[in-house]
Amino acid sequence: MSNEIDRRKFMRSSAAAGAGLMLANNALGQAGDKKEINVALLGAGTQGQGLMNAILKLGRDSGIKFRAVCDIWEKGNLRRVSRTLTAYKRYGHKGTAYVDYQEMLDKEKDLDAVLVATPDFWHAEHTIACFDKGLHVYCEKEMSNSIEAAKNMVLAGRKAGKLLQIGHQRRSNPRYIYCNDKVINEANLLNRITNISGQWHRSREACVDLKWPNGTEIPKETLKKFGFDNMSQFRNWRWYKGLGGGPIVDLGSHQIDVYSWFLDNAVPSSVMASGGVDYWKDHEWYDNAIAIFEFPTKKGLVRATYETLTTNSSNGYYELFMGDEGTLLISESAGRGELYRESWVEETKWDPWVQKGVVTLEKASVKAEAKAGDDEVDVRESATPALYRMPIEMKVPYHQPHLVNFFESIRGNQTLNCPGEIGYETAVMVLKVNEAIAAGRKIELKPEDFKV
Amino acid sequence: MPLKPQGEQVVDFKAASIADAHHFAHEAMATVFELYIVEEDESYARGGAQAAFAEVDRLEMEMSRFIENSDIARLNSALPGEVVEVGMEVFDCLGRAVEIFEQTGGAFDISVGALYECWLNEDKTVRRPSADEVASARELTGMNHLKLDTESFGVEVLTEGLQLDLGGIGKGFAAEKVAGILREWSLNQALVLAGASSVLSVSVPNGMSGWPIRLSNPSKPSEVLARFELTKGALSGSGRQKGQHIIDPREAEAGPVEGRLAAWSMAPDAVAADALSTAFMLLDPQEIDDYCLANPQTAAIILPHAVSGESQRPEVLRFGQWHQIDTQNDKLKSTTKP
Ligand SMILES: NC(=O)c1ccc[n+]([C@@H]2O[C@H](COP(=O)([O-])OP(=O)(O)OC[C@H]3O[C@@H](n4cnc5c(N)ncnc54)[C@H](O)[C@@H]3O)[C@@H](O)[C@H]2O)c1
Repeated sequence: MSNEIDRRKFMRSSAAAGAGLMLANNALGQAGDKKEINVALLGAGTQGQGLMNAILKLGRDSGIKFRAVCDIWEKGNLRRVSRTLTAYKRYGHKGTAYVDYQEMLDKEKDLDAVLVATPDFWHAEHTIACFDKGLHVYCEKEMSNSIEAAKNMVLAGRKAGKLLQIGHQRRSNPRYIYCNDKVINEANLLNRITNISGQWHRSREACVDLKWPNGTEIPKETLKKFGFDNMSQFRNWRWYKGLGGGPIVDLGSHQIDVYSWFLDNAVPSSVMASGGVDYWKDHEWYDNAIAIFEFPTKKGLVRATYETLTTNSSNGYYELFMGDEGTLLISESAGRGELYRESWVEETKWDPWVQKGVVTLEKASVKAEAKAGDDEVDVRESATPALYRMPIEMKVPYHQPHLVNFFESIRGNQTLNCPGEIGYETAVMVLKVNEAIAAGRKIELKPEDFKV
Repeated sequence: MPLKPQGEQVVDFKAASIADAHHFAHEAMATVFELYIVEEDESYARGGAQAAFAEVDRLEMEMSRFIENSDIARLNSALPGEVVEVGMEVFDCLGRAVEIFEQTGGAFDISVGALYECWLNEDKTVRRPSADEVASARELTGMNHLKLDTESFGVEVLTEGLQLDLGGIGKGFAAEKVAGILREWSLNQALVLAGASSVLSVSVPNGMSGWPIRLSNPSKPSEVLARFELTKGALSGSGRQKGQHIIDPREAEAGPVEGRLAAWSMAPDAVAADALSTAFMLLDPQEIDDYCLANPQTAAIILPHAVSGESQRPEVLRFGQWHQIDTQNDKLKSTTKP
């Protein structure tokens, strides 16, 4: 109980420190470049709304102003988001609504940046059109459903001299940054990382095909013009070839991106994978996939597995980094983070990091005890490893830090945490998983395969 | 919020009687949300239910104090002077919470957690706090510590350490949002259950006179206290489990009491119903009567503390329009207006 109170007190003071940091950042932003950033939202679905809400919660003095929103679902998401932005009129936001992105880019003359949150197969065309207008782009992952198109996005951004941030938001999440900077790099508590595993298990309930309210249908011609066969395919694009990439791309991408990041942005030398359309009817992409990557790193080879399911939610989603001295479990899911010391490693080795406050010891190692009547301890049964925690919380809405990083980079105060080049490496890694499944064999990868 | 029962049924809908309603359920907000929808096309009804449940999940991410980056968690760790920008929904919900706080003279209070933490141990047994502890808990109680800026969606905590908990109002709020989505989908013939404690009628199915509802004694679920048909608006219940204590934030010094066994409220919307059922656990009968007179569409039933040695039949007090309702229950010994 009193431990709990101490922890909360600690959290409160670290949260307060975090708030101070935010203020400093804002002040910096104003000092560096007073210019307000005018943005438009292109693609106002679930994720587009998430991005919008995270920006609205920056408050009225953020200097970020929505000017317009574009979405082809006029009676659905477009209406909903346009209404929300209008409700925020007092913050200086405007919700001018467009169905056609080209019309929006032509008519909205004072835009600085566009947030692209359309289905994957639109990202390249939308992003490149924005660069052609001289705008910065925050583009959702997956960067593209095609490696070639993803490459073109990076090239177009370079040519325009504009920023491209890819929406792998964990790269700006303070909890993830802490794990990478402090736990892995500074304290080196895992020591030599040899293996990684990770998963996103989603329940059947969460994967049922989406529908739409009667009367909100998009006219047939419009659907066709924008590349969709019918409403059901439009709502469930992630399952279709040519539109999305299935769960390995939808979910796995975030986590495989972290694998590479925590290995100092290493890229794999091979991938093998298995998967199939085993459960869901009428879906084109694999509804479950298991992949194995080999990452050559300066410290040696790291073998990594990844698994995504759409029928079962056991243990949710997380990434697990295994070193010869410790284990780190991290998840974007609020508050899920654990660190274990291998029981043979002396407690004194980690103590200095506890003293410095880098990690906190939650449960000491418990030695295996002799069973009653036994006079020998079974040496094969190792002691339970000690549990440590990272004293850091994510205290702002999801996606907000990544968006702030984008805006502050536009203002010249920060550099992008996930520029197009990094997004490209991740796109190659996950798109190759689908390729490996289709080919039914191990695919070798060269460092050049990840270069634009 | 200790008052809202999680497991046991306080309000029970007799599903069996609606043969052709589709039933959908979804776990969220530490309870189970259920929908009964009358609609020919089952898969269409399922689509609407799925959209509604997705909205509940989204609201939970903003409203739960246990999720570290929710709007409420951010408020709970905010410092005075810092304006926390919350979502439109949380802003609305806080506004309603303040309004009901005022209407009930402070009996419904989303900051009451400080008093519970002061007076109860983690295992819910009563502890004896020092006068200082009580005083500082009191200083953290009440809606005067919260400032809602009506010109924006900004909220300010005026006292450091204020702990807000939407547990007594959030499920009702979510139920209203669910009803809104079902209307968008033209799935009007529907009933929304937010856990075992709140029901909201979107509208009554054609050919039915109302949704059949049962109120049962929380400490003895087999004992049905009232049956009636819900035709519009919402109904909520709060109950106290055996040995559980409640604290009246208006009389913080008094500390935890065993108090009433259960209270039910009926109101035009589920937000009010949810919050009022908590308030009606605490308000005295005269206050409840006054409230129902001032708000003609509300009603209340309370189940006072059982007096030992009395007959098996609990005495039930009814207020507001519940006077007129024929409860069709021979076991019910209802008192007329006090
Ligand atoms: N970073 C994350 O955590 C995260 C989470 C979910 C989705 N995403 C990504 O965000 C993107 C959108 O996903 P979603 O879940 O919001 O999908 P969604 O289907 O809910 O939304 C897509 C929206 O784009 C609109 N749209 C489609 N084609 C368009 C076009 N040509 N022009 C304008 N609007 C168009 C649709 O009408 C729809 O409103 C995807 O790339 C997805 O991978 C990222």
